[in-house]
Amino acid sequence: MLPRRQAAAGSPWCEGSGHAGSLLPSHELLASADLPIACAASRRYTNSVRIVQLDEESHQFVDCGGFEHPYPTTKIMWMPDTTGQRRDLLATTGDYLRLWNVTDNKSVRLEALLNNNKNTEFCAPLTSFDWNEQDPNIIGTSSIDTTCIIWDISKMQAKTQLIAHDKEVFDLAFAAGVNVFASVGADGSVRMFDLRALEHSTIIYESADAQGGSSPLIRLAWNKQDPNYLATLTMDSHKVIILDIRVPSLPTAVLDGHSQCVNALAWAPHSSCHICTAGDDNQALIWDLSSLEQKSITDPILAYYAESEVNQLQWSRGQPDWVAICFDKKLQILRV
Amino acid sequence: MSASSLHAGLALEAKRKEIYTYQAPWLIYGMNWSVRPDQKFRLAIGSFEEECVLYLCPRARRALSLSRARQLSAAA
Repeated sequence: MLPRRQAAAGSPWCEGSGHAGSLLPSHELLASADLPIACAASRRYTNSVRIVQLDEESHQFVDCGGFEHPYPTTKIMWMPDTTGQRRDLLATTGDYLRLWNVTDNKSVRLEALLNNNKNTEFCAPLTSFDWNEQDPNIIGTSSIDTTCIIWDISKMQAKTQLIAHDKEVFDLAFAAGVNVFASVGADGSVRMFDLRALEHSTIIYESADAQGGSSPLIRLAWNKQDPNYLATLTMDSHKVIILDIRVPSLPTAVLDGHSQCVNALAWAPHSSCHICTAGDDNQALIWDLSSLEQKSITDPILAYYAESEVNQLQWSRGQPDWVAICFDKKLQILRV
Repeated sequence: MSASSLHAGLALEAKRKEIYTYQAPWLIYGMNWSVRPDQKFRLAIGSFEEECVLYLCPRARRALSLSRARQLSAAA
């Protein structure tokens, strides 16, 4: 477990003390307007994916290789292979779900393009996906066509496709096991599904805006250490909503420390009560949720100030001391 | 802080660096850590370069409709 502590000397993080967010100038809100739920956006094959690795001797990142990608990737994931015994696979979504095979950490080739739409050339962009940690043969994708697809990549085909929401689905996340997953979308709901009983879903939460309508939910992260907890992001909101699946409808906590909209979130892979969030206020904040007595949490335990709006955030599962963020053209890894 | 302890502190910091940066030639959006134990500190990053927008996410769509509304009200 990550202990509550002061930021070490030389640490990139500042200790949280309630002033987080107030030190920064306000930024152009629309500067990265189309990033958080980036979808298929370009016609030519001008986008690409690179594999980079830190050389621990030279302290430099080394470019290992890469490939062109039609349309920007809406999500990239490495196979959740903690043993290193399986093939070295990478998945991307954009217009389709693609699997890429990396050989000797150098050459990359397309392993498969997965398409469940056999009737038409039209494809509905995929907004996100999750790779099941317990069974790496299972991938779940979310689409703007209101559906989610669960893929069996040992057969390279869809296991099932379900209409998950009334509007576009923006994100999907598996719980700790094989069968349970949840999704969020433009209809403002968090819905939980069980692959053993897909005829119904459970609505965990529905967003509400000031006009009595709903606000789209753009991101969803499932706490893998304590699967009772989920976190979700509302579009254009600086708050992060923490949900307990045992207590539907009402947020268990609201993290209220960002001064601009939040773009990304990641639970600690090794601790049930820590989460990192990042947003347009240039900040990455780490929160301690060990005492959830207070509904609204305003003080993170650690804060990192990036040079510009943070669009992406991932917490390393293999090396949980490290968090990676992306802003502008930069990838940064930060020791927690 | 004495000069020697400052020097020791700097040496320690160099040994145990806390932050590393990679600069890509393009705006980065997709990113993920490799999980394999034999590939430490390996990440994949994806570009976000748009030329022809086929699908707009709600944030961008709303921004465009807002600017359109401003243009219309300015014209009227």
